[in-house]
Amino acid sequence: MKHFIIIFVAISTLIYAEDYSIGHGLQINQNLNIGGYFSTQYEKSDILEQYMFDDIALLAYGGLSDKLSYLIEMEAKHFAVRDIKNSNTSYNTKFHIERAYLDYKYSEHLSFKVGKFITPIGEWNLNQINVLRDTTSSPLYGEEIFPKFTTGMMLYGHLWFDDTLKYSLFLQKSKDFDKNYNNIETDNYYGMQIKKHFDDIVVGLNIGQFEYEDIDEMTLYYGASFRYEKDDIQILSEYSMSKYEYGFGTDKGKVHDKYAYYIQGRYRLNRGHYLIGRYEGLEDKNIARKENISIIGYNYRPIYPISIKGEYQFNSDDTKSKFMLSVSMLF
Amino acid sequence: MKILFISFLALNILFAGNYVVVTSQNSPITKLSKSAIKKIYLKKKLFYANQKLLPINLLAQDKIRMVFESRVLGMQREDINDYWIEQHYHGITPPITQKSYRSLSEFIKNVKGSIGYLSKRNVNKKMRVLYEF
Repeated sequence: MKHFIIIFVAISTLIYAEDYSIGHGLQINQNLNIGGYFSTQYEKSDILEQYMFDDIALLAYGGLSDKLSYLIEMEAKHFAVRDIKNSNTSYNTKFHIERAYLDYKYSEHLSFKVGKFITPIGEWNLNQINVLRDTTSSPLYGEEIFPKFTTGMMLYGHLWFDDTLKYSLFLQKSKDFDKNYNNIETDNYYGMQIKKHFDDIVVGLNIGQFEYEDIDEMTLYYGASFRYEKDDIQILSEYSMSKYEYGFGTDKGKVHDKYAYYIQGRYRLNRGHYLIGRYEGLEDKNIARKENISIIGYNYRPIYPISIKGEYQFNSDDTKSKFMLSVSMLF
Repeated sequence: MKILFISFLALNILFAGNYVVVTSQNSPITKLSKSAIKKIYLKKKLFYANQKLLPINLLAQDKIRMVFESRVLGMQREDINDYWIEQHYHGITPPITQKSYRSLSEFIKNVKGSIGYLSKRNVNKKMRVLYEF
């Protein structure tokens, strides 16, 4: 309850502030901007029916000098979840660190980030929140192959011989700042990405390696991303493959392969109305899991920082086919 | 909406070539292409040589800003707003704003790396023209 009151006061303060415009946060001064987001979600399948106040988060960021800046994001996931089938409600009002970093921009070719940040991979992973996406669900690709967040350091910038080529190198050699909301727990992780920007197209290649925390097994992954955007059409597609070698037991030395991909098309019907179709797949050869999902969805943005989405997922496993609805907002 | 678009088109034709993107005469920046200016104003390009760049906007309702956004950035105001809403999540703020061309001129004179746009007739000796639109 205490947390809810703090959030309510924070949101009210933002919305009624004189210089506030929704979705842009509130600039207190050059050193401090505040904002946040929330999302609510309804989900129904043969095995589950639930409603949740899914994410609520507060953001603070700003410049500390002309080249140094910071960002802190605190989030409570699954803030309140109502299981309609079993008639029970669970709460999680504890906020965790989703991101916290210092960013030093030395030149066009070299910048540093230190702390916990979004792992720079592809397109989908870069926007971690419902309101900035076109579907309520995320592709399995984004959840199963690599850690979404990195706690460590990153070097990034444009290559000196071509300012349309952007690189990122990252390294983690410690435990996560706060591993609650990371999909994979790791304490040893490094990788890189290179992205080429054309007029309407961005293509990327990435490679990385990580070790599951407390388990002596390295996983290697590599992948590619593609983004096309022109006029009313956007196409996103990503593919990633991972391999890990068992380090102990009778399976020692065996290689475990997993791959995932998706292709998503979005068509803007008119301002604020989007039609979305996505096809995705995942295969985990070790546990003989193979899943394919086709999604059709609709995203309505009465204003850009508010998103009302509906989607239906046709899963190759019929029991997992489901309907999802969400309302989210960036403030 | 149609009236706004037609007025806007008329403004574009009427004032073609009457505006300029400028920096200080002391600035290391000598010339910028249209695409470089767009990257600077969207904060995708942050440096020129080793000089940190500081793009400046006029107020949202300013006529010159509207022409600049249409002709140089090639974007509609709504699309620009949407872009900055996404950047807010990444901790990136839009260019700072000055209320008049006078305050913009003063800013450019005093702050190294700053870039702004104004009417050609308001250019003074302390400014260097980088691009005409």
